Amino acid sequence: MNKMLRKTIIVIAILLTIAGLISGIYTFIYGLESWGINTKVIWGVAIVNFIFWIGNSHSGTLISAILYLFRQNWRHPIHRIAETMTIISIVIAGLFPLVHLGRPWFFYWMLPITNQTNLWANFKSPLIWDLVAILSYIVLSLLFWILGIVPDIKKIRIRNKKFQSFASRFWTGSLKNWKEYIWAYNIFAGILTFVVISVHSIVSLDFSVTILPLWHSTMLPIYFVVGAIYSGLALVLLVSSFISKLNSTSVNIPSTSRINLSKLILSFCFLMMYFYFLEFFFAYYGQDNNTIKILISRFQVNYLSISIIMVIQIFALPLLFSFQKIRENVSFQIFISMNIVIGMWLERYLLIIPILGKDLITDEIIEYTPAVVDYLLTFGSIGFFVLAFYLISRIVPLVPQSKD
Amino acid sequence: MDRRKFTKILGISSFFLGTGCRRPELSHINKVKQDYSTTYENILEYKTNVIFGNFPVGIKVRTFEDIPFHISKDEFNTFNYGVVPRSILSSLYNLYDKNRMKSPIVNGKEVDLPFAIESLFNEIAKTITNKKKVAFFLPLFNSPFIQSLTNEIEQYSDSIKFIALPVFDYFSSQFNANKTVFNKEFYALYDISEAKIIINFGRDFLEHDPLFPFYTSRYATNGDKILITFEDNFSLTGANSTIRFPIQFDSVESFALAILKNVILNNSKREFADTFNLVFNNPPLPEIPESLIQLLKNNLKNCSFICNDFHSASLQIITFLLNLFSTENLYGISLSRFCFFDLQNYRSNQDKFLSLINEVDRYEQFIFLGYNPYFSLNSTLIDLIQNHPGAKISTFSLYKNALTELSTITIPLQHYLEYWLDYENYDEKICSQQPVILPLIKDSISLPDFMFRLRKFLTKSSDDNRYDVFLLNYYRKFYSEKNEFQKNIQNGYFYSKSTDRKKQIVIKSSEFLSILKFIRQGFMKKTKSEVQLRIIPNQDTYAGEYSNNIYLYELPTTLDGIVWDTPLFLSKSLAKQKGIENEELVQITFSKNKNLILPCIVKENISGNSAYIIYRNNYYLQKNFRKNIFELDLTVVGNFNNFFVQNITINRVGKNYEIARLQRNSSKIDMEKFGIYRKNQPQMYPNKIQPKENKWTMIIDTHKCIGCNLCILACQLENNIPVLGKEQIIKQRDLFWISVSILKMQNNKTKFIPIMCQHCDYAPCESVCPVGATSHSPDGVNEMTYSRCIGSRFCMANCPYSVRKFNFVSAEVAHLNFDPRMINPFVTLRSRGITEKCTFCIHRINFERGKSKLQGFSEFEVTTACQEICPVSAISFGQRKKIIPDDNNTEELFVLLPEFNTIPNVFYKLKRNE
Repeated sequence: MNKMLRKTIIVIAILLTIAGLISGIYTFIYGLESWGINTKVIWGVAIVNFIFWIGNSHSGTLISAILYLFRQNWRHPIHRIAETMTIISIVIAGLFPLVHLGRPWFFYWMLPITNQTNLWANFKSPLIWDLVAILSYIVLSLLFWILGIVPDIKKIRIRNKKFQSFASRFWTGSLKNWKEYIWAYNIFAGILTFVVISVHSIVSLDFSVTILPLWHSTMLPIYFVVGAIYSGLALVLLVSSFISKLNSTSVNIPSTSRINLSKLILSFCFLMMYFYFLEFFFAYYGQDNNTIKILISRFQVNYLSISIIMVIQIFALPLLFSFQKIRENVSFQIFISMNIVIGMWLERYLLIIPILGKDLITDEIIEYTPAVVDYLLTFGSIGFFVLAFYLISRIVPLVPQSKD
Repeated sequence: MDRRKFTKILGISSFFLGTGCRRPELSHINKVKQDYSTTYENILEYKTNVIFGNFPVGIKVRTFEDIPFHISKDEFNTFNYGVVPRSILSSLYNLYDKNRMKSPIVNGKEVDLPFAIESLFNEIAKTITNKKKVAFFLPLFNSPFIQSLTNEIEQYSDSIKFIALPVFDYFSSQFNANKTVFNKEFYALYDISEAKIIINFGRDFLEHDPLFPFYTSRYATNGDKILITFEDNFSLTGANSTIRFPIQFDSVESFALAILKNVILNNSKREFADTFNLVFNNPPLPEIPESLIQLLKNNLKNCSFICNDFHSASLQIITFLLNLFSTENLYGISLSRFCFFDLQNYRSNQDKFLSLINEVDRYEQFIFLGYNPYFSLNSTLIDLIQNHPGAKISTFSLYKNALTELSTITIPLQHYLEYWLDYENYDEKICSQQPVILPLIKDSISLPDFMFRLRKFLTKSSDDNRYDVFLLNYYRKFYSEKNEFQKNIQNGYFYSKSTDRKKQIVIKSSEFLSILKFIRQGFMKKTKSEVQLRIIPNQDTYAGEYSNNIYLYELPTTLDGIVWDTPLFLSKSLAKQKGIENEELVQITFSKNKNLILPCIVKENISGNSAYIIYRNNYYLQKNFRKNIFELDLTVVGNFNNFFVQNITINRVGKNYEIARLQRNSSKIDMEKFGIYRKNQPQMYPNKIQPKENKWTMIIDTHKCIGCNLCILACQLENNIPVLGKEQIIKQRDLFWISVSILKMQNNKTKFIPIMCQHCDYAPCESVCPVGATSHSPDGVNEMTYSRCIGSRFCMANCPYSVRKFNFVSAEVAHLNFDPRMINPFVTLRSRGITEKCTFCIHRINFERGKSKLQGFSEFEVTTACQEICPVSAISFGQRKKIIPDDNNTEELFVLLPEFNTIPNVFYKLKRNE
């Protein structure tokens, strides 16, 4: 049964990846004509996906770096799952802004490379900050992930003799090895803690630097970081509890890790709630017409159903984790964390689309409906995530087998 | 690491540092120094005229390297005074249209022109020898040259008749009334230029009117006018009115009569009042508000009255009388208010047409010289040619259409920019139409050329001249000076007959009784019709075949923002009664087997049970363009009088239909979105502000703007904005740089707000562009470097005015029926994936700057495309110091969305309490 399920999932993932790849190539060739965006809602699902995946990538660092610094030992069984997710997510996230460009073949113009006419990237633009932040995050988290694998280097399933001999020379498991390793790990964790906070803050600056109401807010960076960690934790819980449900790995993930994750999710749920209502409070307190109208429009015809689903998924359901029996139940863990992940996607959707869709001059709301290509890109990214995760798990042991 | 390695790394890294970390520059896009001297030599400007409705409209045509690329207004013509109808403005499209007929067709085979003409002449000769008759149908316009040829040919042979018919017969109602009442044949054009109060009985003279150029040019003069409109539909004129009375179409007359009664009782001699009371003692007239009565009483001399030409004869006479009473001299007509147009031509043609109907059996050949009965909904003529056994039809036309399918011989006509002709204006000035390009289609012929050849064939003269030489010789006799021809071509008109235009019409009190009786008789019969449907010919249709133009279909209507489709407009009460909802398909049943299905729009402000269609001939459009739009074939209606249909039923079909709308163009703006322009705006970075005097500034006077949307079209043509088709508009992916929204106001009058890029000093789009593709010029223009744009669309997201547009497809691909000759050579065609917006016509600024440098001037003036075409001069553009000379006197100047502190350079003239 489990094998059957696993195979089905992998086949679906492969199909979705191919569909996403084809739609990405299609977009590249035929332009953004095939997307659902229009002159007013000019950023569509692609940017929602970008923020969503960037957000998901955050929990990895949180679990491996921040919790490591706080010496939370329950993080150890799940930290590699989280880090693997981070790397896959950040790669996916980085692809979306590229596909979304009108002329993606000129993306390197954003890099500070000189040319003969002395044209230079505009450092005032948050997109440049974004690019720098994401590139550095990709590099650092990749290095951190590799560093985390080092104690298990002999268990990597690469049948290359050269690699194996290199691995046995590189890591012997001696005390000296461990000393150096922990030293490096500490430094990396320290650096990454800052990077992880800054990356999503910078992504949020894409929005808070603009002059549009609701986006133009100093609350946005911390709101983004909290949201990112929230969705990331949910994704880690989803993956780890799913793995233990399937029982496919040789080493079980201890339930304490998952229970603690649930507790962490519950606390972040309250944080999210705080920021969500703070948004409304600011609008009410500031009495800015435009902001109030946009917030109200989230609960009007076009977005009402999405809003209600979102509120249930990210604010109501996670409260069930208050009960110990639900925290300990694997099925509930899967159910709630999946809902949180979907709900957080919708939250990003509601953060971006209604504001872009509102005409500030005429107060009208322009509708946006994603096109087929948009859907394919979104589900393709999910398929790619699953596929990549599976392929990595075939090579690297997902649960660390050495103890530090 | 050894020493060598270290130096290597140091060297490499310092090399990269040195090359990479140069001082970042943003505004360093080097301006290409263009050699303008050759460019200026290659640009030529021609003045010419073209027929619109029945009168010549003066235009300027600009050519670059002998290819016409731009049409603009010219103020020399006394008919339009620089107001260009949109169909004429965009008529270059027709010149380069790939779908134009390319070769003559005789019996289904493509042949060359001489053969086609010869076979047509042979047919005519055969018909004449058989003692049958030939009827030529041509559009009605006063051209002395055509007239003289017509007369000559008709004198030569009895069996040839030339019948000139108007595109839509708007003369007949007034003409017949005048003929009966005053015993004179004329058509009175009421000159409203000097009036301060205009009372309008159902005439949409600011939009869908054959005399749109005439009335709009006169409406724009002499400052603010009070416009009072009685109408059943909700037209642009109604929207511009100070007071608007939504009333039924058949009760317009009684309102007019009530006003006439008040005028007679208050302002004229007693004998008139007595006569009036004698005739109209019974019928209760509708009540008119006291304020209007007082207004009329005090300002009658400043009043002008106009009425719908398609209305009854009574209304025509009432309007005439009202104008008469409002002039100073009661017994004659002050010429400032009236322009008479002699209609002898019209009368004779109507007589000929009637005689043709009577003895139709004697006619064998029907030759259509540019007149099309399907286009003009002339169902009498359609029935006649369809049911006539042995009728041979030949057609001269720009395009293939329903008529060419019936004809045996089809010959392509030339575009008006390709041949010489003359027109007589209403004030008897002769206006010239001169070619600006050689005929693009080899086997095409012009109307005068054909007539000339026909004359030559029939009279068998050995004259070797071409028609244009003949035309010149025809006029040479009028010239007094040698080089007068040159001069006249430059002016645009040939000569002015010094005839006495003062025609007097005197009404004696004894005649007054019979006039009033005529009015009483001519009243529209009121039927208890369920629906009153009016068919209003679109302004574009008066340009004849030039209305077959995709630019016109994509131009949004001002009040609804509708593009491409031609819906039925329904009043709210009627829709409620029938259970019809907005954007639903409805079926109109005219009589048995005569149905029409079309989408409908339910609208406020339409009176009672009124419905109307703004008709344009969309079945005339090429098939590939009309695949998405609803076909509107009004020829099924059959004969209808004055475009007013009663005794019809409207029912639901039960299907919805999506009508493409441009969102901005019909939506309303709150007054609170505007803020007053402050001279000393608080500035966060005072050092960075541009020098004030230098800045290019635009002021839009909303008191003047009538919402004609000509600026949108002119901008589109000037800046090579592609026509995208209905699908893209439904997806809200339009590329128009200007949109015209409506200001929400407390009183009824509507104000229009054209919105384009505001060229902000603190432009939010500039700071967020990752590659610096949009930047600020030293003279305050927000510039866009197309080639640098990578399409991140951040600028669009951050623009609070939402005026930036994105090219989803490159302009060449997106543009329906793209022709490279059509494009403005001074504006780049945008490729796929980049953003664009209003540039303040930067190419014109650079052009003028270069020109002034060549001539040694330091100052120069620039006219933007929208400013150039604006019929009411609502847009003014120039450097700040010139356009707002006194910074203290800026109380009327408003800016959009002041809360964002973007400091725009586009100002709106408004009043605070609106």
